[in-house]
Amino acid sequence: MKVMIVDDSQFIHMAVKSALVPAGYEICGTFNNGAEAVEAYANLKPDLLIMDVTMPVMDGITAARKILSDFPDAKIMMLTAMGREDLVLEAKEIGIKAYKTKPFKANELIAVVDGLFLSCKN
Amino acid sequence: MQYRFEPEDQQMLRQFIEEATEYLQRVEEETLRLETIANPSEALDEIFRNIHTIKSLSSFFSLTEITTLSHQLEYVLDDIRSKGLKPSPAIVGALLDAKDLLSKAVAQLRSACDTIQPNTVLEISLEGSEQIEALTRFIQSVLQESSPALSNTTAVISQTLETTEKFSSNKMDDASKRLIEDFIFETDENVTEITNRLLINLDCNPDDQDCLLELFRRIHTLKGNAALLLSTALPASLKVIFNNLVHMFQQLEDMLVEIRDTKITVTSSVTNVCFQTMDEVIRVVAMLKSGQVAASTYCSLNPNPEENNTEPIPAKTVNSGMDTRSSSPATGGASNMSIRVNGEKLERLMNMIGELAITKDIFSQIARKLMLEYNLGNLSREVKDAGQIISRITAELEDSIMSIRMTEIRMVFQKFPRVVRDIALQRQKDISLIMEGEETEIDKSITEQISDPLLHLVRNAADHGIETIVEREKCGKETQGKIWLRAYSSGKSVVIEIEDNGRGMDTAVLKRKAIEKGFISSADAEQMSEEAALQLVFLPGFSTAQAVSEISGRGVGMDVVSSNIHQLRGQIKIDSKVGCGSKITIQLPLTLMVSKGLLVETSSQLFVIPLDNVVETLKIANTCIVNYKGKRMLHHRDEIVGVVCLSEVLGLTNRGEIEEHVSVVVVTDGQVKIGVVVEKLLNEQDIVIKPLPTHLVANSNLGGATILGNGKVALVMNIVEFIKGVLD
Repeated sequence: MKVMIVDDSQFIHMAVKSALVPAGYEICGTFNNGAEAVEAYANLKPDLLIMDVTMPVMDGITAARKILSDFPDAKIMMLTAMGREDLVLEAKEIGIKAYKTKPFKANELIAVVDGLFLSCKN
Repeated sequence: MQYRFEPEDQQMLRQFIEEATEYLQRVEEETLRLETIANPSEALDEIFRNIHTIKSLSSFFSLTEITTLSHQLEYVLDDIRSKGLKPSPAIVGALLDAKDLLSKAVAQLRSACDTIQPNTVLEISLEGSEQIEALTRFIQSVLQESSPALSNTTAVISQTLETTEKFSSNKMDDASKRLIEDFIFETDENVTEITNRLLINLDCNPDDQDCLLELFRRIHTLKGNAALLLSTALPASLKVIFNNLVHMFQQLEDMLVEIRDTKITVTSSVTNVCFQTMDEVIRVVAMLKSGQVAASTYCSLNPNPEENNTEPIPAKTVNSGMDTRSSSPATGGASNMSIRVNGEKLERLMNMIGELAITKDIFSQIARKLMLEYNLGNLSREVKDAGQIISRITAELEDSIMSIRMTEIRMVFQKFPRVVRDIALQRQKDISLIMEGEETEIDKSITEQISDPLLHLVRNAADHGIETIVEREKCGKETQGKIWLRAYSSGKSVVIEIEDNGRGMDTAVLKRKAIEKGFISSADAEQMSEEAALQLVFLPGFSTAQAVSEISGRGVGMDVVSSNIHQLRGQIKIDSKVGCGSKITIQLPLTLMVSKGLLVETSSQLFVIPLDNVVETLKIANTCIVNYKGKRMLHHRDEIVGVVCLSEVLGLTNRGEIEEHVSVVVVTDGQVKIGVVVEKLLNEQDIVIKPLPTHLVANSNLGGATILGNGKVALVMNIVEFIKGVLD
């Protein structure tokens, strides 16, 4: 399962990687903002895109909207910090599959990601 | 507050420290910009984003003070932003204070990280957390003044209630329904963990800090999820429920914070309260679940067309993903990827490339030997060719490592606006700092070392150079003083200028002071040009006198600045005019790594003269050098150039015989030219200057040593000091 990470913080790249790689997921690319994500998505075709909401250049919601308009079946999971949950609502409206609030623990993140793939199989 | 980091978390902590430092720097820059720009919304966005990231990263380590303070800042920023207000000085001040406190906390973490033994648990108690808490409270009070509705969480919620009421209809939209489903799922999970594991564990082990932290985290999450739902379009009845939940979790959270901070052991009454609250939560969730039945019926009556469409498509994703996997590898995304590298690794690589740059010269030496001593012309040429290829590759390597090491001078400049602002406020001055050429690139090691001298100069300009508003009015000047900070590249060097339109320096005062201190005689002083008199401030011990700084307006610690610059093989110059201001010009080499030098020999010793200082080399008849009043001169390109003999200046034994033709190297320190007689001019070559051990630095004419391609050591001349010595 290929996972692509988009967050302006390298810290989050690290946190997501260190949670998902031991759980058997492959990280196929890490990017710093929404614009990079939109550009890379078509090439990488990840099975899951994990993306932050608040980012410079292009925010996560805009990027998700763009990606979903080209790839309506794209599986996108948003990360958001406490206090910006209003954005998640918007995300859900445009077809985001899941979200996780920061901070998260490795097993919490794995649970959500596993759940996503399971629910799709069914 | 006491924090504990397990070894496996420390790498993440380091990453956090690195990033937080950058974010905080951005916050400061943008905050300072707030006061000067007309439309602050972009700057506010930037500040908000950086603060927001700090908040979310710090929450990973439960660095509560940092998280809470940044969270409060978010409220302030959001409030200003949404109302399109111009930030008040109180808010700018609070932002800057917050930045300082957060920086201090991060610095403490950094030093703890730097000193810790690998694979040990890091325990640190952050100092200044009381200040952070005090500031957090202050910000809350600021908020209350500017917008009563945003003073605290409950108020936020009540405001949300009011606003959403207008838009909410009786029917819940799909998004809210899904959110409630998520909420129920997550709450179930968290409550089960809390009641079945955490609280029970705490009952047996009241001192288990980890367990307490996890409990806190989970309750915090529960609160956040409930608050999230409040911000959506809910029916009024549900809002009341969620409002209660938020309130309940908040109370629990407060209690846990109290326990954690004061290190009270968890008593059974505490766990009892928790259990009771959880029971209440379970009851509420059960109620929601039953309500959910009605909601889902509503959902099935209005099937979402999008949901039907999504079903068959996933298969396609997988297929197309497989198709492209081989043809478009990850490189597409990795093209402009950047990585962080430990500075030490880079340093080692750079040193090795430096050595390579020198060692490569051995090829041309072998080639020469093969030709001259063994008469193997063909082989000599081959070796020479091979050497050239390696030279070219080495040059490319040097260029690439150089470009890695180049950083924008912005890194240094960015902290100055704050410095100037603080001084201006303290001293009742109005100063505008104008920075130009921040994108100029310079070697990172130079950036690091230039930072302090520049800070000193900027501070001097603001503190002593620019007059107070009253003084400026008296002189008929514009009340706002200006300081220009410029950087630009010029050839192989970077020039930095610090200019102000303040009171300038009085050469008469400087001269008088220099005479008093015995640096010059009054006869010297009379002869001295204005320009030379200004350079007096660079004399060691000259400027420490308080009186000078007050009378002349300049010159505190200038000798230190000057010696710092010279250590970097740079030059510093000062221009000033009484009443008009001063300008300090610093010229720095682009890099300290590899430089070019001219290898010369005198008294059978090898010396290297840095090529930056060489104007020209001459081979002339000794009759061209004329003696005038005991000084030797040379008429060279319509200029009279003083001539000295290298061996004499360095006190080496001269061979005594004056040859018919002599080799002269014309050197300069940027201002004065001097001809230096040497015995032999050898060749030009790359050098990596290694510093001399301190016990050998007695001779200031020497700037260091370098290893030559053949392994021999040559001393490198410090031409600036050399010329200074000769002129004295």
